[in-house]
Amino acid sequence: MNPSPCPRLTRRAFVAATGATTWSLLSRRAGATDTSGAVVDVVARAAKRAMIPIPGGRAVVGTDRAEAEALAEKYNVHPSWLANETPRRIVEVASFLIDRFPVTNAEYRAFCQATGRQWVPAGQGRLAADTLATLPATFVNRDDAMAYAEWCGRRLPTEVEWEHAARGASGLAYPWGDEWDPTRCNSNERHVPGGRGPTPVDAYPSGASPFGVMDMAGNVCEWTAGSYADAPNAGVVKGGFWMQHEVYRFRAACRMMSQLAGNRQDYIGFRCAKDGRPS
Amino acid sequence: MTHQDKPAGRAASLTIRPQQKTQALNIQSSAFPAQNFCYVIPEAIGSTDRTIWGAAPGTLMAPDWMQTNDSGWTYAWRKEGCLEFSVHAQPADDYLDVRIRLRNLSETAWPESLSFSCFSPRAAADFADFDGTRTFLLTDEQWTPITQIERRDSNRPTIQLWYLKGGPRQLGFVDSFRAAPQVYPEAVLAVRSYDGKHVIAVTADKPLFLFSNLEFSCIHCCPSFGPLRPGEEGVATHRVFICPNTTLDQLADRVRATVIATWTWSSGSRTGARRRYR
Repeated sequence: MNPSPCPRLTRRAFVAATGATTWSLLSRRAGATDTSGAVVDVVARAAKRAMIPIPGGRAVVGTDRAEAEALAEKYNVHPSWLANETPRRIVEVASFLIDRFPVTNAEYRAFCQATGRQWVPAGQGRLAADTLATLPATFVNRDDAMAYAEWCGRRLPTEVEWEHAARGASGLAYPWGDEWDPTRCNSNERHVPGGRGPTPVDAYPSGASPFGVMDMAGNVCEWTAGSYADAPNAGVVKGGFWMQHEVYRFRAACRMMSQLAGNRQDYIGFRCAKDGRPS
Repeated sequence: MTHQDKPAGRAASLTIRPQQKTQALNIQSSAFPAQNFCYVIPEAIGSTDRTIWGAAPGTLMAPDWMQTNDSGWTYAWRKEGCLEFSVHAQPADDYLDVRIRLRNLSETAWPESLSFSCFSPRAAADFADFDGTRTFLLTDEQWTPITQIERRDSNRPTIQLWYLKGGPRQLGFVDSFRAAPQVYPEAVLAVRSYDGKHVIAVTADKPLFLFSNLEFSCIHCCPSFGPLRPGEEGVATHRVFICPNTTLDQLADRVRATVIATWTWSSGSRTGARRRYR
Protein backbone atom coordinates (compact mmCIF):
# COMPACT_ATOMS: atom_id res chain seq x y z
CA MET A 1 0.00 0.00 0.00
CA ASN A 2 1.28 3.38 -0.92
CA PRO A 3 -0.39 6.07 1.12
CA SER A 4 -0.53 9.46 -0.44
CA PRO A 5 1.84 12.15 0.80
CA CYS A 6 0.25 13.76 3.78
CA PRO A 7 1.32 17.24 4.80
CA ARG A 8 -1.02 17.18 7.76
CA LEU A 9 -1.50 20.24 9.87
CA THR A 10 1.42 20.10 12.24
CA ARG A 11 2.06 22.85 14.73
CA ARG A 12 4.95 24.12 12.64
CA ALA A 13 2.88 24.17 9.48
CA PHE A 14 0.02 25.81 11.27
CA VAL A 15 2.21 28.58 12.59
CA ALA A 16 4.05 29.01 9.32
CA ALA A 17 0.85 29.18 7.36
CA THR A 18 -1.03 31.48 9.62
CA GLY A 19 1.53 33.53 11.46
CA ALA A 20 -0.57 32.81 14.48
CA THR A 21 0.88 32.45 17.90
CA THR A 22 -0.68 29.04 17.90
CA TRP A 23 -3.02 28.64 20.78
CA SER A 24 -3.98 32.27 21.01
CA LEU A 25 -6.23 31.55 18.07
CA LEU A 26 -7.54 28.39 19.54
CA SER A 27 -8.15 29.70 22.98
CA ARG A 28 -10.78 32.13 21.82
CA ARG A 29 -14.26 31.16 22.70
CA ALA A 30 -15.98 29.23 20.00
CA GLY A 31 -18.05 31.51 17.87
CA ALA A 32 -15.77 34.47 18.28
CA THR A 33 -15.06 36.42 15.12
CA ASP A 34 -12.14 34.95 13.27
CA THR A 35 -9.94 37.85 12.28
CA SER A 36 -7.91 35.61 10.06
CA GLY A 37 -10.12 34.01 7.48
CA ALA A 38 -6.99 32.54 6.02
CA VAL A 39 -6.70 30.30 9.01
CA VAL A 40 -9.88 28.53 8.16
CA ASP A 41 -8.76 28.06 4.58
CA VAL A 42 -5.38 26.78 5.58
CA VAL A 43 -6.85 24.35 8.04
CA ALA A 44 -9.44 23.13 5.60
CA ARG A 45 -6.89 22.73 2.81
CA ALA A 46 -4.50 20.87 5.03
CA ALA A 47 -7.25 18.64 6.28
CA LYS A 48 -8.31 17.77 2.76
CA ARG A 49 -4.85 16.59 1.91
CA ALA A 50 -4.56 14.42 4.94
CA MET A 51 -6.58 11.48 3.74
CA ILE A 52 -5.41 8.01 2.95
CA PRO A 53 -7.03 5.90 0.26
CA ILE A 54 -8.22 2.51 1.45
CA PRO A 55 -8.85 0.14 -1.44
CA GLY A 56 -12.12 -1.72 -1.57
CA GLY A 57 -12.25 -5.45 -1.17
CA ARG A 58 -12.27 -7.96 1.61
CA ALA A 59 -12.02 -6.66 5.14
CA VAL A 60 -11.39 -8.73 8.25
CA VAL A 61 -13.58 -7.71 11.16
CA GLY A 62 -14.21 -9.26 14.54
CA THR A 63 -12.42 -12.02 16.40
CA ASP A 64 -12.56 -15.77 16.13
CA ARG A 65 -14.29 -17.36 19.15
CA ALA A 66 -11.33 -19.55 20.05
CA GLU A 67 -9.02 -16.59 19.75
CA ALA A 68 -11.31 -14.52 21.96
CA GLU A 69 -11.24 -17.24 24.60
CA ALA A 70 -7.46 -17.39 24.41
CA LEU A 71 -7.25 -13.62 24.76
CA ALA A 72 -9.60 -13.73 27.74
CA GLU A 73 -7.37 -16.26 29.45
CA LYS A 74 -4.24 -14.32 28.58
CA TYR A 75 -5.57 -11.05 29.92
CA ASN A 76 -7.52 -12.57 32.83
CA VAL A 77 -10.96 -11.40 31.82
CA HIS A 78 -14.11 -13.44 31.56
CA PRO A 79 -14.67 -14.53 27.93
CA SER A 80 -18.05 -12.80 27.96
CA TRP A 81 -16.19 -9.48 27.91
CA LEU A 82 -15.01 -10.22 24.38
CA ALA A 83 -18.13 -11.98 23.16
CA ASN A 84 -19.56 -9.05 21.25
CA GLU A 85 -16.62 -8.93 18.85
CA THR A 86 -17.05 -12.53 17.73
CA PRO A 87 -17.11 -14.15 15.26
CA ARG A 88 -14.32 -13.15 12.94
CA ARG A 89 -15.73 -12.58 9.51
CA ILE A 90 -14.88 -11.27 6.08
CA VAL A 91 -16.96 -8.45 4.68
CA GLU A 92 -16.77 -6.53 1.45
CA VAL A 93 -16.01 -2.83 1.68
CA ALA A 94 -16.04 -0.25 -1.07
CA SER A 95 -13.02 1.96 -1.58
CA PHE A 96 -12.93 4.92 0.74
CA LEU A 97 -10.60 7.53 2.14
CA ILE A 98 -9.94 8.10 5.78
CA ASP A 99 -8.14 10.84 7.69
CA ARG A 100 -4.58 9.94 8.39
CA PHE A 101 -4.86 11.47 11.87
CA PRO A 102 -7.69 12.19 14.26
CA VAL A 103 -9.10 15.69 13.85
CA THR A 104 -7.01 18.05 15.96
CA ASN A 105 -7.97 20.89 18.25
CA ALA A 106 -6.67 23.35 15.65
CA GLU A 107 -8.80 21.86 12.93
CA TYR A 108 -11.91 21.64 15.05
CA ARG A 109 -11.39 25.16 16.35
CA ALA A 110 -11.25 26.45 12.80
CA PHE A 111 -14.56 24.75 12.11
CA CYS A 112 -16.11 26.35 15.17
CA GLN A 113 -14.82 29.75 14.20
CA ALA A 114 -16.16 29.37 10.71
CA THR A 115 -19.57 28.11 11.71
CA GLY A 116 -20.17 29.63 15.13
CA ARG A 117 -20.58 26.21 16.68
CA GLN A 118 -20.11 26.18 20.44
CA TRP A 119 -17.24 24.17 21.88
CA VAL A 120 -15.90 24.11 25.39
CA PRO A 121 -12.77 21.99 25.53
CA ALA A 122 -12.33 21.89 29.29
CA GLY A 123 -9.49 20.48 31.27
CA GLN A 124 -6.59 21.22 28.94
CA GLY A 125 -5.36 24.40 30.58
CA ARG A 126 -2.28 22.80 32.07
CA LEU A 127 -0.88 21.91 28.68
CA ALA A 128 1.41 24.12 26.67
CA ALA A 129 -0.29 26.16 24.01
CA ASP A 130 1.72 24.75 21.15
CA THR A 131 0.84 21.25 22.25
CA LEU A 132 -2.86 21.93 22.44
CA ALA A 133 -3.17 22.67 18.74
CA THR A 134 -1.94 19.24 17.75
CA LEU A 135 -3.86 17.26 20.32
CA PRO A 136 -6.87 15.37 19.09
CA ALA A 137 -10.10 17.33 19.40
CA THR A 138 -12.13 16.09 22.35
CA PHE A 139 -15.28 17.18 24.16
CA VAL A 140 -17.15 16.56 20.94
CA ASN A 141 -20.23 14.42 20.75
CA ARG A 142 -21.28 12.41 17.75
CA ASP A 143 -23.38 15.23 16.34
CA ASP A 144 -20.44 17.59 16.66
CA ALA A 145 -18.23 15.12 14.85
CA MET A 146 -20.77 14.60 12.11
CA ALA A 147 -21.21 18.35 11.68
CA TYR A 148 -17.47 18.81 11.30
CA ALA A 149 -17.32 16.00 8.79
CA GLU A 150 -20.13 17.48 6.77
CA TRP A 151 -18.42 20.87 6.83
CA CYS A 152 -15.39 19.20 5.27
CA GLY A 153 -17.49 17.33 2.74
CA ARG A 154 -16.90 14.10 4.56
CA ARG A 155 -18.60 11.74 6.99
CA LEU A 156 -17.71 9.55 9.93
CA PRO A 157 -16.30 6.15 9.05
CA THR A 158 -18.51 3.16 9.54
CA GLU A 159 -17.39 0.73 12.18
CA VAL A 160 -16.22 -1.70 9.49
CA GLU A 161 -14.30 1.00 7.64
CA TRP A 162 -12.63 2.12 10.84
CA GLU A 163 -11.62 -1.41 11.77
CA HIS A 164 -10.39 -2.17 8.27
CA ALA A 165 -8.29 1.00 8.17
CA ALA A 166 -6.72 0.01 11.48
CA ARG A 167 -6.13 -3.69 10.83
CA GLY A 168 -5.15 -3.65 7.19
CA ALA A 169 -6.08 -6.27 4.63
CA SER A 170 -4.62 -9.11 6.69
CA GLY A 171 -6.62 -8.24 9.80
CA LEU A 172 -3.90 -7.44 12.32
CA ALA A 173 -4.81 -7.27 15.98
CA TYR A 174 -3.23 -3.85 16.46
CA PRO A 175 -2.49 -1.30 13.77
CA TRP A 176 1.22 -2.14 13.81
CA GLY A 177 0.98 -5.92 14.13
CA ASP A 178 -0.37 -8.78 16.18
CA GLU A 179 1.65 -8.17 19.35
CA TRP A 180 1.04 -5.47 21.89
CA ASP A 181 3.75 -2.82 22.01
CA PRO A 182 3.24 0.05 24.45
CA THR A 183 5.85 2.19 22.69
CA ARG A 184 3.59 2.48 19.65
CA CYS A 185 0.61 4.23 21.20
CA ASN A 186 -0.57 6.36 24.10
CA SER A 187 -1.94 4.00 26.73
CA ASN A 188 -1.81 4.01 30.49
CA GLU A 189 0.22 0.85 30.68
CA ARG A 190 2.15 2.15 33.66
CA HIS A 191 -1.07 2.60 35.62
CA VAL A 192 -0.51 6.27 36.31
CA PRO A 193 -3.52 7.62 38.21
CA GLY A 194 -5.54 9.58 35.69
CA GLY A 195 -3.15 8.72 32.88
CA ARG A 196 -0.83 11.15 31.13
CA GLY A 197 -3.50 12.82 29.07
CA PRO A 198 -3.74 12.94 25.30
CA THR A 199 -0.68 13.34 23.12
CA PRO A 200 -0.24 15.04 19.72
CA VAL A 201 -1.79 13.00 16.97
CA ASP A 202 1.58 12.43 15.32
CA ALA A 203 3.42 11.37 18.47
CA TYR A 204 3.54 7.68 17.60
CA PRO A 205 4.61 7.27 13.98
CA SER A 206 5.56 3.65 14.63
CA GLY A 207 1.94 2.94 15.47
CA ALA A 208 0.77 3.41 11.89
CA SER A 209 -1.59 0.86 10.39
CA PRO A 210 -0.62 -1.08 7.25
CA PHE A 211 -2.39 1.64 5.25
CA GLY A 212 -0.44 4.38 7.02
CA VAL A 213 -3.33 5.54 9.19
CA MET A 214 -2.07 6.93 12.48
CA ASP A 215 -3.12 6.98 16.10
CA MET A 216 -5.81 4.33 15.79
CA ALA A 217 -4.88 2.59 19.05
CA GLY A 218 -4.82 4.62 22.23
CA ASN A 219 -4.62 8.38 22.71
CA VAL A 220 -8.31 9.06 22.20
CA CYS A 221 -10.90 6.57 21.10
CA GLU A 222 -13.03 7.64 18.18
CA TRP A 223 -16.63 8.03 17.20
CA THR A 224 -17.77 5.97 14.28
CA ALA A 225 -21.02 6.19 12.38
CA GLY A 226 -22.06 2.88 13.92
CA SER A 227 -24.58 2.16 16.64
CA TYR A 228 -25.08 -0.91 18.76
CA ALA A 229 -28.01 -3.12 17.77
CA ASP A 230 -31.34 -1.43 18.43
CA ALA A 231 -29.95 1.64 20.18
CA PRO A 232 -29.30 4.41 17.68
CA ASN A 233 -28.18 6.71 20.48
CA ALA A 234 -25.47 4.33 21.66
CA GLY A 235 -22.57 5.06 19.37
CA VAL A 236 -19.78 2.61 18.62
CA VAL A 237 -16.49 4.08 19.80
CA LYS A 238 -13.24 2.43 18.76
CA GLY A 239 -9.59 2.36 19.62
CA GLY A 240 -8.95 2.58 23.36
CA PHE A 241 -7.73 5.71 25.10
CA TRP A 242 -5.06 7.26 27.27
CA MET A 243 -6.59 6.39 30.62
CA GLN A 244 -6.96 2.69 29.84
CA HIS A 245 -4.35 0.03 30.42
CA GLU A 246 -6.03 -3.26 29.59
CA VAL A 247 -4.24 -4.39 26.47
CA TYR A 248 -7.17 -6.17 24.86
CA ARG A 249 -9.08 -2.90 24.68
CA PHE A 250 -6.55 -1.44 22.24
CA ARG A 251 -7.19 -4.09 19.61
CA ALA A 252 -9.03 -2.73 16.61
CA ALA A 253 -11.69 -5.43 16.90
CA CYS A 254 -12.62 -4.51 20.46
CA ARG A 255 -16.24 -3.41 20.90
CA MET A 256 -16.29 -2.63 24.59
CA MET A 257 -16.69 1.12 24.36
CA SER A 258 -20.17 2.43 23.77
CA GLN A 259 -21.08 6.00 24.36
CA LEU A 260 -24.33 7.87 24.35
CA ALA A 261 -24.22 9.92 21.19
CA GLY A 262 -24.72 13.16 23.09
CA ASN A 263 -21.80 12.66 25.48
CA ARG A 264 -18.79 14.92 25.29
CA GLN A 265 -15.74 13.38 26.94
CA ASP A 266 -12.09 14.23 27.25
CA TYR A 267 -11.12 10.86 25.86
CA ILE A 268 -13.23 10.64 22.69
CA GLY A 269 -12.26 12.21 19.40
CA PHE A 270 -12.94 11.35 15.79
CA ARG A 271 -11.62 11.25 12.28
CA CYS A 272 -13.45 11.56 9.00
CA ALA A 273 -13.91 9.35 5.99
CA LYS A 274 -15.11 9.85 2.46
CA ASP A 275 -16.39 7.65 -0.33
CA GLY A 276 -14.27 6.75 -3.30
CA ARG A 277 -10.68 7.12 -4.34
CA PRO A 278 -8.58 10.27 -4.39
CA SER A 279 -8.79 12.29 -7.55
CA MET B 1 -28.61 2.67 58.61
CA THR B 2 -26.72 3.51 61.73
CA HIS B 3 -24.28 6.34 62.08
CA GLN B 4 -22.41 4.54 64.84
CA ASP B 5 -19.84 2.75 62.74
CA LYS B 6 -16.24 3.94 62.73
CA PRO B 7 -13.78 4.18 59.89
CA ALA B 8 -11.34 1.31 59.58
CA GLY B 9 -8.52 3.52 58.40
CA ARG B 10 -7.20 6.86 59.54
CA ALA B 11 -9.55 9.62 60.49
CA ALA B 12 -11.11 11.58 57.69
CA SER B 13 -14.06 13.80 57.15
CA LEU B 14 -16.30 14.39 54.20
CA THR B 15 -17.62 17.68 52.98
CA ILE B 16 -20.39 17.93 50.46
CA ARG B 17 -21.48 20.79 48.29
CA PRO B 18 -24.37 20.67 45.84
CA GLN B 19 -24.27 21.80 42.24
CA GLN B 20 -27.37 23.97 42.42
CA LYS B 21 -30.08 23.33 39.84
CA THR B 22 -28.84 19.80 39.44
CA GLN B 23 -29.17 16.63 41.50
CA ALA B 24 -25.39 16.47 41.84
CA LEU B 25 -23.37 16.68 45.02
CA ASN B 26 -19.64 17.27 44.99
CA ILE B 27 -17.95 15.24 47.69
CA GLN B 28 -14.49 15.75 49.06
CA SER B 29 -12.65 13.80 51.70
CA SER B 30 -10.03 15.44 53.89
CA ALA B 31 -7.95 12.34 53.22
CA PHE B 32 -7.90 13.03 49.47
CA PRO B 33 -7.99 16.78 48.98
CA ALA B 34 -7.14 16.53 45.28
CA GLN B 35 -9.85 14.02 44.51
CA ASN B 36 -13.33 15.16 43.57
CA PHE B 37 -16.20 12.75 43.73
CA CYS B 38 -19.64 13.36 42.33
CA TYR B 39 -22.92 11.84 43.43
CA VAL B 40 -26.07 12.41 41.39
CA ILE B 41 -29.08 11.76 43.58
CA PRO B 42 -31.15 10.49 41.95
CA GLU B 43 -30.51 10.09 38.26
CA ALA B 44 -33.82 8.30 38.00
CA ILE B 45 -36.60 7.52 40.44
CA GLY B 46 -40.08 6.06 40.69
CA SER B 47 -41.75 2.92 39.48
CA THR B 48 -39.30 0.33 38.18
CA ASP B 49 -41.40 0.03 35.05
CA ARG B 50 -41.75 3.73 34.26
CA THR B 51 -38.86 5.42 35.97
CA ILE B 52 -38.53 9.19 35.76
CA TRP B 53 -35.13 10.37 34.52
CA GLY B 54 -34.00 13.65 36.01
CA ALA B 55 -32.21 14.85 32.90
CA ALA B 56 -34.97 13.98 30.46
CA PRO B 57 -37.06 16.61 28.68
CA GLY B 58 -40.31 17.09 30.55
CA THR B 59 -38.96 15.75 33.82
CA LEU B 60 -35.86 17.87 34.13
CA MET B 61 -35.01 18.21 37.80
CA ALA B 62 -33.36 21.52 38.67
CA PRO B 63 -33.51 21.50 42.44
CA ASP B 64 -32.57 24.22 44.87
CA TRP B 65 -30.54 22.54 47.58
CA MET B 66 -30.74 23.90 51.11
CA GLN B 67 -28.30 23.35 53.92
CA THR B 68 -29.60 21.64 57.02
CA ASN B 69 -28.65 22.09 60.65
CA ASP B 70 -26.81 18.78 60.70
CA SER B 71 -24.26 19.87 58.04
CA GLY B 72 -26.24 18.09 55.40
CA TRP B 73 -28.11 19.28 52.33
CA THR B 74 -31.66 18.68 51.22
CA TYR B 75 -34.04 19.33 48.35
CA ALA B 76 -37.47 18.27 47.22
CA TRP B 77 -38.99 17.75 43.79
CA ARG B 78 -42.50 17.08 42.59
CA LYS B 79 -44.21 16.26 39.35
CA GLU B 80 -47.95 16.53 39.62
CA GLY B 81 -49.81 13.33 38.90
CA CYS B 82 -46.59 11.38 38.96
CA LEU B 83 -44.43 11.46 42.07
CA GLU B 84 -42.74 13.60 44.65
CA PHE B 85 -39.59 12.96 46.60
CA SER B 86 -37.23 14.60 49.05
CA VAL B 87 -33.52 14.04 49.44
CA HIS B 88 -31.47 14.47 52.59
CA ALA B 89 -27.72 13.99 52.33
CA GLN B 90 -25.66 13.82 55.49
CA PRO B 91 -21.90 13.27 55.55
CA ALA B 92 -19.97 11.42 58.22
CA ASP B 93 -16.26 10.69 58.61
CA ASP B 94 -15.81 8.49 55.61
CA TYR B 95 -19.27 7.83 54.32
CA LEU B 96 -22.28 9.74 53.13
CA ASP B 97 -25.86 8.69 53.71
CA VAL B 98 -28.58 9.95 51.42
CA ARG B 99 -32.09 9.31 52.58
CA ILE B 100 -34.83 9.63 49.99
CA ARG B 101 -38.54 9.77 50.70
CA LEU B 102 -40.69 8.96 47.68
CA ARG B 103 -44.47 9.28 47.27
CA ASN B 104 -46.55 7.87 44.44
CA LEU B 105 -48.75 10.69 43.14
CA SER B 106 -50.06 8.70 40.20
CA GLU B 107 -53.30 6.79 40.01
CA THR B 108 -51.46 3.57 39.32
CA ALA B 109 -50.05 1.14 41.85
CA TRP B 110 -46.33 0.59 41.45
CA PRO B 111 -45.34 -3.06 41.89
CA GLU B 112 -41.81 -1.97 42.75
CA SER B 113 -40.03 1.36 42.97
CA LEU B 114 -36.46 2.51 43.05
CA SER B 115 -33.96 5.31 43.31
CA PHE B 116 -31.10 5.13 40.82
CA SER B 117 -28.17 7.30 41.92
CA CYS B 118 -24.74 7.65 40.35
CA PHE B 119 -21.48 7.81 42.29
CA SER B 120 -18.57 8.74 40.06
CA PRO B 121 -14.84 9.12 40.75
CA ARG B 122 -14.48 10.51 37.23
CA ALA B 123 -12.64 13.55 38.66
CA ALA B 124 -10.80 11.54 41.30
CA ALA B 125 -7.78 10.37 39.34
CA ASP B 126 -6.54 8.04 42.07
CA PHE B 127 -9.71 6.02 41.77
CA ALA B 128 -11.26 6.40 38.31
CA ASP B 129 -11.35 3.00 36.64
CA PHE B 130 -12.18 2.86 32.95
CA ASP B 131 -11.02 -0.74 32.53
CA GLY B 132 -13.03 -2.38 35.29
CA THR B 133 -10.03 -4.09 36.81
CA ARG B 134 -10.20 -2.19 40.11
CA THR B 135 -13.97 -2.30 40.38
CA PHE B 136 -15.03 -5.21 42.58
CA LEU B 137 -18.07 -7.26 43.47
CA LEU B 138 -18.32 -9.59 46.43
CA THR B 139 -18.86 -13.08 45.10
CA ASP B 140 -18.95 -15.98 47.55
CA GLU B 141 -17.14 -13.89 50.13
CA GLN B 142 -14.39 -13.01 47.69
CA TRP B 143 -13.84 -9.68 46.01
CA THR B 144 -13.70 -10.18 42.27
CA PRO B 145 -12.95 -7.59 39.60
CA ILE B 146 -15.99 -7.11 37.42
CA THR B 147 -13.93 -8.00 34.35
CA GLN B 148 -13.60 -11.52 35.72
CA ILE B 149 -17.34 -11.93 36.15
CA GLU B 150 -19.60 -13.19 33.41
CA ARG B 151 -21.43 -10.34 31.78
CA ARG B 152 -24.33 -10.14 29.39
CA ASP B 153 -23.85 -7.99 26.38
CA SER B 154 -26.24 -5.20 25.55
CA ASN B 155 -26.34 -2.23 23.23
CA ARG B 156 -24.35 -0.37 25.90
CA PRO B 157 -21.25 -2.55 26.34
CA THR B 158 -19.79 -0.29 29.01
CA ILE B 159 -22.81 -0.92 31.22
CA GLN B 160 -23.40 -3.94 33.41
CA LEU B 161 -26.04 -4.67 36.02
CA TRP B 162 -26.10 -7.36 38.65
CA TYR B 163 -29.16 -8.64 40.46
CA LEU B 164 -28.83 -9.60 44.09
CA LYS B 165 -29.49 -12.84 45.84
CA GLY B 166 -32.91 -12.93 47.43
CA GLY B 167 -34.16 -9.97 45.43
CA PRO B 168 -36.32 -9.66 42.36
CA ARG B 169 -34.82 -10.83 39.09
CA GLN B 170 -37.04 -9.11 36.64
CA LEU B 171 -37.40 -5.35 36.67
CA GLY B 172 -38.32 -3.25 33.69
CA PHE B 173 -35.59 -0.78 34.47
CA VAL B 174 -32.91 -3.45 34.54
CA ASP B 175 -34.25 -5.48 31.65
CA SER B 176 -33.85 -2.52 29.34
CA PHE B 177 -30.10 -2.76 29.91
CA ARG B 178 -29.76 -6.50 30.62
CA ALA B 179 -28.28 -7.92 33.78
CA ALA B 180 -25.47 -10.39 34.29
CA PRO B 181 -26.65 -14.02 34.35
CA GLN B 182 -25.63 -14.71 37.94
CA VAL B 183 -26.99 -13.10 41.11
CA TYR B 184 -24.67 -11.87 43.83
CA PRO B 185 -24.99 -12.20 47.57
CA GLU B 186 -23.92 -8.80 48.83
CA ALA B 187 -25.04 -5.37 47.78
CA VAL B 188 -21.78 -3.54 47.59
CA LEU B 189 -19.75 -2.38 44.61
CA ALA B 190 -16.27 -1.02 45.35
CA VAL B 191 -13.40 0.65 43.52
CA ARG B 192 -9.87 0.32 44.83
CA SER B 193 -7.38 3.13 44.34
CA TYR B 194 -4.47 2.70 41.96
CA ASP B 195 -2.07 2.23 44.85
CA GLY B 196 -4.33 -0.35 46.47
CA LYS B 197 -4.48 1.48 49.78
CA HIS B 198 -7.92 3.05 49.67
CA VAL B 199 -11.43 2.13 48.65
CA ILE B 200 -14.66 3.79 47.67
CA ALA B 201 -17.94 1.93 47.51
CA VAL B 202 -21.69 2.14 47.19
CA THR B 203 -24.32 0.24 49.06
CA ALA B 204 -27.92 0.81 50.11
CA ASP B 205 -30.64 -0.50 52.30
CA LYS B 206 -33.23 -2.69 50.57
CA PRO B 207 -31.03 -2.97 47.46
CA LEU B 208 -32.44 -4.15 44.16
CA PHE B 209 -29.35 -4.31 41.98
CA LEU B 210 -25.83 -3.05 41.35
CA PHE B 211 -24.75 -1.11 38.28
CA SER B 212 -21.47 -0.03 36.71
CA ASN B 213 -20.86 2.18 33.70
CA LEU B 214 -17.28 2.33 32.45
CA GLU B 215 -18.07 5.39 30.31
CA PHE B 216 -17.89 7.43 33.47
CA SER B 217 -16.25 4.97 35.83
CA CYS B 218 -19.41 5.23 37.91
CA ILE B 219 -20.92 2.77 40.36
CA HIS B 220 -24.46 2.46 41.63
CA CYS B 221 -26.36 0.50 44.25
CA CYS B 222 -30.05 0.91 43.74
CA PRO B 223 -32.42 0.69 46.71
CA SER B 224 -36.08 -0.17 46.67
CA PHE B 225 -38.96 1.76 48.17
CA GLY B 226 -41.08 -1.33 47.70
CA PRO B 227 -44.46 -1.48 46.04
CA LEU B 228 -46.27 1.81 46.40
CA ARG B 229 -49.98 2.27 45.89
CA PRO B 230 -51.31 5.67 44.86
CA GLY B 231 -50.61 8.12 47.67
CA GLU B 232 -48.24 5.79 49.50
CA GLU B 233 -44.78 6.82 50.59
CA GLY B 234 -41.56 4.87 51.00
CA VAL B 235 -38.09 5.66 52.28
CA ALA B 236 -34.73 4.30 51.19
CA THR B 237 -31.13 5.14 51.97
CA HIS B 238 -28.07 5.19 49.75
CA ARG B 239 -24.64 5.05 51.29
CA VAL B 240 -21.30 5.81 49.67
CA PHE B 241 -18.00 5.05 51.36
CA ILE B 242 -14.80 7.00 50.75
CA CYS B 243 -12.34 5.17 52.96
CA PRO B 244 -8.64 5.99 53.26
CA ASN B 245 -6.25 3.25 54.30
CA THR B 246 -8.88 0.59 54.08
CA THR B 247 -8.66 -2.79 52.41
CA LEU B 248 -11.51 -4.37 50.54
CA ASP B 249 -11.89 -6.93 53.32
CA GLN B 250 -12.10 -4.20 55.93
CA LEU B 251 -14.72 -2.52 53.82
CA ALA B 252 -16.69 -5.76 53.62
CA ASP B 253 -16.61 -6.07 57.39
CA ARG B 254 -17.93 -2.55 57.75
CA VAL B 255 -20.64 -3.04 55.22
CA ARG B 256 -21.74 -6.23 56.92
CA ALA B 257 -21.60 -4.75 60.38
CA THR B 258 -23.37 -1.51 59.61
CA VAL B 259 -25.67 -2.31 56.78
CA ILE B 260 -26.62 -5.94 57.10
CA ALA B 261 -27.14 -5.51 60.80
CA THR B 262 -29.89 -3.09 59.95
CA TRP B 263 -31.14 -4.46 56.66
CA THR B 264 -30.69 -8.16 56.08
CA TRP B 265 -31.45 -7.71 52.43
CA SER B 266 -30.48 -11.16 51.29
CA SER B 267 -32.68 -13.01 53.76
CA GLY B 268 -36.02 -11.80 52.54
CA SER B 269 -36.61 -9.19 55.20
CA ARG B 270 -37.09 -6.30 52.81
CA THR B 271 -40.80 -6.20 53.39
CA GLY B 272 -40.21 -5.82 57.08
CA ALA B 273 -37.78 -3.01 56.47
CA ARG B 274 -40.29 -1.17 54.35
CA ARG B 275 -42.96 -1.55 56.97
CA ARG B 276 -40.71 0.05 59.47
CA TYR B 277 -40.69 3.24 57.46
CA ARG B 278 -44.38 3.52 56.79
